[in-house]
Amino acid sequence: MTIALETTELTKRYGTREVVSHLNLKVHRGDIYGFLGPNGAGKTTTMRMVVGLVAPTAGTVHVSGVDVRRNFLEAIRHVGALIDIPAFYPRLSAYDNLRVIAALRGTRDRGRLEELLEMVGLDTAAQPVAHFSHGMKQRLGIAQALVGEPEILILDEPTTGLDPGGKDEILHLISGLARNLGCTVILSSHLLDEVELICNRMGIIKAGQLLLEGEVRTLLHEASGGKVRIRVSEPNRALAILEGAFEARAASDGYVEIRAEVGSVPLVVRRLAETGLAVYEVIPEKPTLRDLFMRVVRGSVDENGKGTAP
Amino acid sequence: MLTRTSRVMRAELIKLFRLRLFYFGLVAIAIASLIIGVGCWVALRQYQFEGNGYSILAITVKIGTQMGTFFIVALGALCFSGEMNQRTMNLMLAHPVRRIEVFIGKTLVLFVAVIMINTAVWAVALVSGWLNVGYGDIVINGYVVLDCPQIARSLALGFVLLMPPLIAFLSIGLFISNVVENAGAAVTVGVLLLLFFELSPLIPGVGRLSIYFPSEQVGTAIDFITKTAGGEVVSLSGVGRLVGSSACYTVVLLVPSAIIFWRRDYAL
Repeated sequence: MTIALETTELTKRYGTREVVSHLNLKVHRGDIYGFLGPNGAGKTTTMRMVVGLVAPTAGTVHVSGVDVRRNFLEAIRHVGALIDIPAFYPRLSAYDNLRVIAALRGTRDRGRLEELLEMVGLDTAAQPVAHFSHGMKQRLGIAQALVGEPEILILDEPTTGLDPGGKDEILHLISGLARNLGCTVILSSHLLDEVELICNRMGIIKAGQLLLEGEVRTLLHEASGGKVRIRVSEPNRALAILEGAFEARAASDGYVEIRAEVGSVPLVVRRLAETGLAVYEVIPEKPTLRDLFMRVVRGSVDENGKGTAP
Repeated sequence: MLTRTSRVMRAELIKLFRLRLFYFGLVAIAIASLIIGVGCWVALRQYQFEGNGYSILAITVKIGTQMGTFFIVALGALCFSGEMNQRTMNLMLAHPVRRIEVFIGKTLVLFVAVIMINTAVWAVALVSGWLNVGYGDIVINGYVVLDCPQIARSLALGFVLLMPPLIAFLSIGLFISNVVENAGAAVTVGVLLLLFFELSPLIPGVGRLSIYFPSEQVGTAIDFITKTAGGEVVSLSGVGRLVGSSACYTVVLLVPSAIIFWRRDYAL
């Protein structure tokens, strides 16, 4: 799989304070990558280094294989970014704000700008952006990021300050962009639900260090430890049958808990059924991203820089 | 590089021509200059002055330019600090243009704005002069001292001579804009500095230095215009200092501004 964005040992120091520390991030083409971390973890600084707003103290950023510092123009050509709170020229209309960006990008296609406004659900009225609601501004921010038809879309906390309805709309829009335009999306956020909802891969950063990175589904499964809860007619007998093959224990609520790979679950059910036990329920424990996140950020970092759950 | 700089200029022109403050400033200078011109005309008529349209033109240019310098310094002071305050600088720099191209593009567009402001003042001054007796040869005691084409050439030179010091003022604004990140503070510092320049001849100990200030160079250009309007054939002796000093201000202020702009982390 080709790499859309890669940071190698990326570090940013302000005086003696290390805001981002030896960050090695890998985003594959086509990913919707959730870049998670608590406030002040270094997410926005990382994003700023990616788009060249902040110079790294050490390390490199490659966008589509191009070094951002060495060949900024070529690298940034592939990127559309909405960093932090969207910024606009408040006295200009939404359309004129896009015209400014289009001029910087060397695009003269006015039809495209109208299409973008339509795509994000804003009309081309001459109303100054200063009168826009927060949600409309977020939408315009996304439209701005899309002006150059980027391959990589960086969205830094795009749903901050939105009501639940507004958040849903923006998330729907983002996943639609990835699906329909084939964009790689990097979604920096501290809101876990939205990442779980739309991202296929994620990285968790804390105090400038990457604690964990991988596929959301895999990470969640690993975090559950493969725990499966089974409700059977005779829990004690079931426990005796399973104990040899699996790590099993009786739960206080009458369930039997075992640790098993997802692939082994049908085998467990068959073995119990063959012995004449009635299997009423099989519930694989599925931790939420919130559980995983809390475990990781409260945990420590091993010598390889990978997160270890406590 | 030229293509990308021209892209920045295009973006800046879109912003400038949508900026109400710019039109407000232009119209304010134009109206004020017109009032001054008409006021002079009425006053001169009252005192049976034997002058001509050129005199009105010179007075209007003088006062209009002095007002314009405040506007120019304010525009310069807002250029970068304003973008940093509303965080649109981040927006501009996250695109395929180099920082130096953004700096040059923004600066060149303000040069165009300075030309427009100067032109607006002159346009109003020309109308004010025309409202009086109009333009023609300057005749003193029955002799044609300067004929109309000669005066027109000299006045055109006066227009051009005003540009270097005005650009020096713009450079002062741009430098402040890069050093003081808060837009309001940048404009205040710029205007205070301008007042200091204007009042420097009156300040003991500083007065002798005032010949090096850009306001003095504006004064030289205005003198040239006033004397031409009065029928004097003016030598170009002060022009070297005017251009040289203005160029020094421009280079000495714009180079460090560009370096500050280029090296800054846009972390806010």
